[in-house]
Amino acid sequence: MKLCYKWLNEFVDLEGISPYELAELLTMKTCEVEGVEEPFAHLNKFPVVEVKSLKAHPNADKLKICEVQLADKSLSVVTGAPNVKEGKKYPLAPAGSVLPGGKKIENALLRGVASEGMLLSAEELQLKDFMWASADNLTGILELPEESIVGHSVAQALHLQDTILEIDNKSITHRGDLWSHYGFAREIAALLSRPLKKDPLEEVNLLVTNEDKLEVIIDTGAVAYYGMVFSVTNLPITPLLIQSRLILCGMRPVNFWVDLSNYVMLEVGQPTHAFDRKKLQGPIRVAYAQPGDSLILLDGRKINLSENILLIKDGERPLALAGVMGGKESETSLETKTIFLESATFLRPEIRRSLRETLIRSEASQRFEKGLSPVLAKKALYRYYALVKQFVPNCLAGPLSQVELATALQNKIHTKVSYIRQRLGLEELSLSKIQQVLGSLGMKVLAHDDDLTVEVPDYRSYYDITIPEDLVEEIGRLIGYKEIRPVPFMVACTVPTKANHLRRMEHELRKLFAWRYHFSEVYNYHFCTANELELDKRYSEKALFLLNPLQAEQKYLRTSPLVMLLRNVASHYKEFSELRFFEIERIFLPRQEELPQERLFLSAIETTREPVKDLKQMISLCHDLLKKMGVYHFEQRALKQNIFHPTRALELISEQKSLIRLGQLHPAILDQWKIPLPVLYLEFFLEDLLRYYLKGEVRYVRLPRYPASDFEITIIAPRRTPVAQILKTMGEVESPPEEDRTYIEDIRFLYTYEGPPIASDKKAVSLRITWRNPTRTLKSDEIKNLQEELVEKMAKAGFPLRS
Amino acid sequence: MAMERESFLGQLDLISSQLKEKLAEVHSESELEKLRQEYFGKKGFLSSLLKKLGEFPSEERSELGKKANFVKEELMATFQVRERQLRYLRYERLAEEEWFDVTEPPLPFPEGYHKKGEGHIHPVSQVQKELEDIFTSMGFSILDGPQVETDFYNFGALNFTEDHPAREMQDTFYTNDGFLLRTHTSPVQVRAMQQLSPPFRIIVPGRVFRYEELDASHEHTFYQMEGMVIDREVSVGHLLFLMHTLLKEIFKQEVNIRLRPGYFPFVEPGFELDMLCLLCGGKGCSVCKQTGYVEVLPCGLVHPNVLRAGGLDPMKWQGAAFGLGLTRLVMLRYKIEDIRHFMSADPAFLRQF
Repeated sequence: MKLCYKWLNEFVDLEGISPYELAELLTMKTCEVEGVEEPFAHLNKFPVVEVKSLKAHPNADKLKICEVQLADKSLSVVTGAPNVKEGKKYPLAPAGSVLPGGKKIENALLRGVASEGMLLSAEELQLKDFMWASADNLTGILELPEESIVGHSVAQALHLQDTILEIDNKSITHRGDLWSHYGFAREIAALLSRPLKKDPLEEVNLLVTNEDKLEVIIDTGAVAYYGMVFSVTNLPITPLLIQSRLILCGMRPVNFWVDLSNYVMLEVGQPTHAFDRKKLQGPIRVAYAQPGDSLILLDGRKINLSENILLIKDGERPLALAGVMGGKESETSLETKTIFLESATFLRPEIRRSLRETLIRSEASQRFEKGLSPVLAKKALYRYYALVKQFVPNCLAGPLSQVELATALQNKIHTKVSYIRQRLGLEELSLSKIQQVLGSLGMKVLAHDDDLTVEVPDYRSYYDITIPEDLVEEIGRLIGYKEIRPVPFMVACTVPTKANHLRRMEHELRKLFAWRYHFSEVYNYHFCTANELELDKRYSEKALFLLNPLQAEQKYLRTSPLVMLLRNVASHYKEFSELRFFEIERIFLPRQEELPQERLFLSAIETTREPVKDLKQMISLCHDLLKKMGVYHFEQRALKQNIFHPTRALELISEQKSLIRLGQLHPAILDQWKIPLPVLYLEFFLEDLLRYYLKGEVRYVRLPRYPASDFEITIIAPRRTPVAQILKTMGEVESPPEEDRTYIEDIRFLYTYEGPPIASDKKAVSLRITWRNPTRTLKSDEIKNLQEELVEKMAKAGFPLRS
Repeated sequence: MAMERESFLGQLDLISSQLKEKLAEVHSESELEKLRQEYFGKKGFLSSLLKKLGEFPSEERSELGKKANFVKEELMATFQVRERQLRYLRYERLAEEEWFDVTEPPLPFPEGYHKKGEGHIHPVSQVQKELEDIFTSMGFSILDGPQVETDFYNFGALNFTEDHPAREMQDTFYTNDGFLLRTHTSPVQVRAMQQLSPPFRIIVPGRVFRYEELDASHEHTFYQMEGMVIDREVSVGHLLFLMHTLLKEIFKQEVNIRLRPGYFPFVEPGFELDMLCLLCGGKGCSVCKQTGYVEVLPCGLVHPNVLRAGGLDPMKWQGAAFGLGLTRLVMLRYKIEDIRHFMSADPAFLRQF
């Protein structure tokens, strides 16, 4: 919202307080001021001049030579404007000045006659929003008002020389009383402890000069409705000051009736609406829309109305969206001589509902949705009346139509002085200070020992000051929060209520992946397309989707971590030869009648040129990872899933539960994404590992007393024999002799070799076995026997020793 | 020498039948690609023939052109069919040709792992961890809450009534099933009050969402950190102390802070907390937009309606809360100019942290 400094000064004396100081004061005590600017400062360099005499141009019929008076000197200016007149005042661009559009004015010879500047049009000053007194003004140079003073700037002459304070609307969401100049003046008066100079809302004598009165009925949705018929014989041009203030506040002058209505709104905060009286039959009703109702709005849009939208109706006919926007049909124009002015109080929930359903916003709805006082509605109508009478004294005004369902509200709040002191942390705060502060805000304070009863004025009783905490804020901000000293909490010596183990694990995983496995952490969006969702079908069926996505196709919430990492690879593989990314975030799996399950995952992706070698490394990584997470027993098992290569994917399983899935992505996916490199992927859910991570104790094994015996062996096996099968064969022991406690302590796979001299359908597999006896050192012949038995066992199983 | 109509059509036929024959004999995608160049490439058979169209008079040209194009399109369609066939053949052969023994145990770490190059932790994660450490050292618990929330927790319980105009302050993503993406980490205030027994101190770092078009300074997905203290008596003085300590720890130097009014429905009184600009010391510079102060975070004393929604009696318990813009803090600290970098996965960005 824009506030004019000079307008505020009409209501409260701002002597000695610059606009910047005022902005600082408001920022510290009331609301956010987003900016302070003088929007028409650029007009300061164009002075008002008076045309003293006019002469015909000797060489051109259309040009005239003007002798113009500028303060103490006179200049000669040539103009082609048809509307230039002797004795009138116009804006001048002196030689050397630059027009708003960037054009530079210089001393020039116009058809042989010297011109020391240029008389300006409204267009050249970029002031087309004004409604000008005569049509000539639109095409020719801008005729300034009689009372303009020669030598003053055109900004001054047009009442545009003012500073605007731009208020952040969000910061006054709770302050319905502040949405006007008078409202802010009232606030500033309290902040400065200065009196108000005048009250635009004071009672005026209503002189009824007309009999025309429309009946008014409130069916629902409003607590007060006032209306009056105004009639003039000639519709005047809106006074310049009013137009200027509307423009300074970011609005456009329209016609006398509408401009005064807007002016009253900017002045006192009550929206009113002018209907063309000729278009109304009466009675005027505030009622909900009926099925099938529609309305063409002021801006020309046609809307179909749902049944719970509050309307102003003429009998049964929709006229306007109550409190939001008027209708085209009953709109006033420059020809409208008789109007019906509405000033009503619509209920906040009704306005909020209309806004939600129609998505239409307006200056009026912005005020009604904050919750306004019905008292204001009546006073604003009187203010309108007073303004019309001021500018058109012979205007006819009809009797007041009114329905009042509510009277002034005055909240009474009970609290204690000690409570206010405690909440603010101001132990020494005195009662008299409290009384003074609240008094300056228009509140009445009744004190009885520690007890306080505070009466809140009507204009702050709606959704604003309702509980003691609100008073705490009022007192705190007016005194100034800088008076409050920081005090440490009195803290109980307890451990934090709840340890977040998952978070501890998350941070540890970050370190592992970044610093031990050399992956970089990325953050990714949750939103994906239907195609992307289909990529990994595991949970994609019931994906949650947005009703209002930013981009229509990106409406699904991801159900797989893979999609976004693929996007990351697709965006960067061309630039970087190797990519290794990981992400820790959540996927969303809907459940019935409940919030979706949010599963925290870690996923990692890697581009590679040697998929077999790198997949083996990734498996090594996973073994290391599981051990770090406290999982000591697990196995590898082949995995068939549509995202993975048919043979190069596996899961790591412990206690029948799959903990990690990993593998090379299926080329079909990469073809689809146009990624020309093999890509490896791994993924797990943190909660699946949490149990192990929490147990995560080191399991101590007593140190052996007798040495073990290692034996390395290389066997030949058919090429497609899974290593697991070979290891299993090796570990099988046929009923060990009971008396002998020698056991296999460890069997370890070392490496495979394929290629000459090994036959092409075979491979050589090297393994190491470790035997131990806890009671004694194994003798060399014993060891020899064990070795021979093993070789024989392997050969029998089809795995002969490599010769 | 001008070309004869018949000869043109004959060549077209020939090219068409030749290509169809060859297509049937192609058995790999690389051979197919060669064929594509041979026929459809700039100097390919088909393209060369089509160039000759220019030599015909205009009526003839348009007739022949139509025919040629028809043949070309037909051939390209056949080509694509073959291409798809070959691709699927390749997929089918994967299991056989790219067999891998998934049971083979890996070499143990680190011998089994030879990756070079550095890995990096995302800057937001790093700063989040740092803040968590500061707060846990002050006895705070770290809580998490759902990102997909109910209207009740995100708004209603936080004193945004159904008709509250402040609902407009936060543009919200809504989902099917009647949920929404949380617009702040504040819903966890209420969840915490319901789960924990007072007194308590919590922080909630996490991802939040606003319906907002993306540009250099606006994100629809970003990070916040909520903080809340519930105790018997909590005053503005306590809040000031907490905020002062926090900012001193974050910026590792003495800081000068001030409170001014700010409006948020879930606190009363509500504040914006400013910090004397660290760069210019209050003289005014580009970072503080010449004001001498930088707006750091909103905070306030917990509104009694919020305490009630959390199941606490406002006569017995009081609270203070704050919301820190984590993403913004990271941008401030490293002077990051564009908020979009955070979600870009750009290695050039990530490797700086």
